[in-house]
Amino acid sequence: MTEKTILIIDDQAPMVKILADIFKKENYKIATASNGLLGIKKAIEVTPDLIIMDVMMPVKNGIDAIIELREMDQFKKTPIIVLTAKGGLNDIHTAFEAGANAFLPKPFSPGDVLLEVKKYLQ
Amino acid sequence: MGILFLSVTYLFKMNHKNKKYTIFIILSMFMFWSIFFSYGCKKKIHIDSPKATEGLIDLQNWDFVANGTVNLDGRWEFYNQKLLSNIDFEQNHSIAKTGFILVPKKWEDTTIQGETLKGMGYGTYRLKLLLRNKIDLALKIKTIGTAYNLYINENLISKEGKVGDSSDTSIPDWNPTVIDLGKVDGEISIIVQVSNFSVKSGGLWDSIQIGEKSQIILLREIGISRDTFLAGSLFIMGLYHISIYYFRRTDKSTILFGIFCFIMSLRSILTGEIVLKKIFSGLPWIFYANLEYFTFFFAIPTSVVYYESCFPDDFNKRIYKYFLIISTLICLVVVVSPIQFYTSLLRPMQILTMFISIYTISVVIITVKKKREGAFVFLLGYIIFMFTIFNDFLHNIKIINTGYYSVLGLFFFIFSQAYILSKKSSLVLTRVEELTESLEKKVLQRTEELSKERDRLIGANLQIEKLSESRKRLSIIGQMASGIVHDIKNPMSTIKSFAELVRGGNLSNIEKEEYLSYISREIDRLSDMTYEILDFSKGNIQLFIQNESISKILNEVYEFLKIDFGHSQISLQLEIQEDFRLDFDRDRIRRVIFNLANNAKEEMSDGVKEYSFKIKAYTEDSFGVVSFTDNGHGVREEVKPKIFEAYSSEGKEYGIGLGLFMCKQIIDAHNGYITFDSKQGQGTVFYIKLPLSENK
Repeated sequence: MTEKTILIIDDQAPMVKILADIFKKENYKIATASNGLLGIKKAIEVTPDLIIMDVMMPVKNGIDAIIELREMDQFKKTPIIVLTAKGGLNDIHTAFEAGANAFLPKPFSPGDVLLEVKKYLQ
Repeated sequence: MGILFLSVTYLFKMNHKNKKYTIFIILSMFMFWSIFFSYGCKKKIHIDSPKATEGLIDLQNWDFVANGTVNLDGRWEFYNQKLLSNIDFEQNHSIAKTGFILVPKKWEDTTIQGETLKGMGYGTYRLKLLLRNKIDLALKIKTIGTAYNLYINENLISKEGKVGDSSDTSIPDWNPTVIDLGKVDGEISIIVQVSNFSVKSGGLWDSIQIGEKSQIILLREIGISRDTFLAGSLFIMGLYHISIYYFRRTDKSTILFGIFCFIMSLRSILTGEIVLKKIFSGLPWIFYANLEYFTFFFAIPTSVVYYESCFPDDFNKRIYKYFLIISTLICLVVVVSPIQFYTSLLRPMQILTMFISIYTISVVIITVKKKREGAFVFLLGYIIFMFTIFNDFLHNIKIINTGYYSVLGLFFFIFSQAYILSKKSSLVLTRVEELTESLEKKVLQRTEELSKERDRLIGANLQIEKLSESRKRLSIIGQMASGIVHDIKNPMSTIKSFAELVRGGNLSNIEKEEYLSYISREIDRLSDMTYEILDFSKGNIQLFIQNESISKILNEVYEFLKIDFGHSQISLQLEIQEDFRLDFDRDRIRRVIFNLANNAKEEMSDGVKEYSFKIKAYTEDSFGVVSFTDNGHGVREEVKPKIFEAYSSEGKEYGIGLGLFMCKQIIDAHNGYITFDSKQGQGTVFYIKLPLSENK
């Protein structure tokens, strides 16, 4: 089984650290970026199998980043899980509109994220 | 007389105890004038003065010097429809007289020997006088209606107008005069031919007075001066009240009274000695005769309106209307009809006047009971006036022998009215003064109240400002709610995840230690945020001062920042060039540092170049300085002036956004300074300067 790569785009270092630690234990390869802009660059660089996307980030937010990614051929089908503290219906709707595959509101437990990730990476 | 004035004084004293002095002066004045007016009336007319009986009056025992003048009143011989002279009597002894006629009396309704006289006609009066004295005598004739020739024995010594047997041959006139008789002795005849075709009723209607020449002249002079004085006083009073009305038109009683005064002023020079005739001798009889009657007739409706205006609430409106309509109608008839006719209206008008007087007195009595303003003085003046008229009437018909006082009564009445009106005006003035005073007081009071109110409002406004400031803050917090939620959820989420990982086991001690430190740090972040919101919403900051070295807190912060900056690929550097101690609120200063660092980190997270962030500590004079240098994009020029304002968060899409505002609040609370220096495209340096602790 080839190692799957997960790209974590979040400006909060602790959040990235914890997600990274969770996924590493499951033998996923991890790439990180601290905002939407850097995240797109990173995605093009590593072509991840799945993207974990925060919404509220400096420079470029998660929704804009998803829209841009979806416009690129190589990321049309890449699963994107949105992780955000913004958990309103509108936010969820916006996220799906933009092209997100799943939506996980913060705070979340490591198990939930892993379950969601595995759904797309089986 | 004296008793009357004493009683008046007493009554005045009862009403106005505080005005005794003024009242005394007024009454003294009245006493003086009353003596002046009554001179020659009361004193000189003796109760035993002789009367004419059967065409003869015996004055042989009358001492003119001691006892004064005598009115030739009584029964004179009368020859109706005949104009006779002494020659007629001497040549023809058989001339039959119609009878004896009462003098003074008008012809109309007089019956002599069963024959009733007509008001218009002609005839001859004759009276024989028996005299025995050595002094100059004189006669005083007032008016005779309406033309006469007066003979003493055979000599015509006085005439007015032209006596005739028809209206064509008769010319009316009247002119009070004094006739000098010289030293006369023995028996003399006074023959008076009289004709009247001009007024309703003629005849010897006034007394003819005889007396010592100087007394008669004096009476005439006093009469003239009395009439002139009265006319002048009334004229001035009229002018005064009309002027009052001119300036203050609310009270119409003043102008009515002024008009009444004018009428009475005119009347006083048209009656009595007829002063007007002396001044304008060329005037035709019809002119001043008309004028005299007019003054009587017109005085009545004027006085009715005046009375009503004095007591508008008490005067019965219907009765008032009747009085006014009837008297005005009579006046209208007087104006349009000839004197021969309208003089017949004298009697009805006199009767109406009597009714008006009686009703007015009853009204005034009621108003006195109701204690209306001026009612008592009105009543007093009116009663005295009526009393003097009644007195004159009784005196005239010889029931009593007191003298004529109606002129004085009128004067007293007029004065009482003037007194009431001036009291009314001065009351108005006093009220105005009082009002002005109270108004001034009120204005002062209101001003004071207003200034208090203003102070209160200023206070309230300050409170409102504070409140609205705090509301504004709360509203800003409300607007930031989603940002706050995000900022809270992030660390909570981190804490939750780390806690679950720690609980889940399979971790090395190092890993556990690491995760717990993450949890601790996130809790600090949460705590910082809550404090920030709290500080902001309260609007003031209460410091918890601790003494600590700057290196300790900077190192601590640096450990945390390393992770964040590392994740964002920004190189981080800390340089303690010079350590120093500060008295500061540790948590809050840490927040300032985190804020500045986070701002820089967000500013530099686009990855377009190699970013760096450097924290440096050093001292400068009595301040400890911490500088934060980045090589980011720099602050835009237009943002610079308001960079420390609340919620100006430049280019920041989320987060509390109070960052620099709260930083400044915190540094200000420490009596420190926060400044910055920025060049676009090159980077920004923030400086915080805090006073160095004195206990080093």
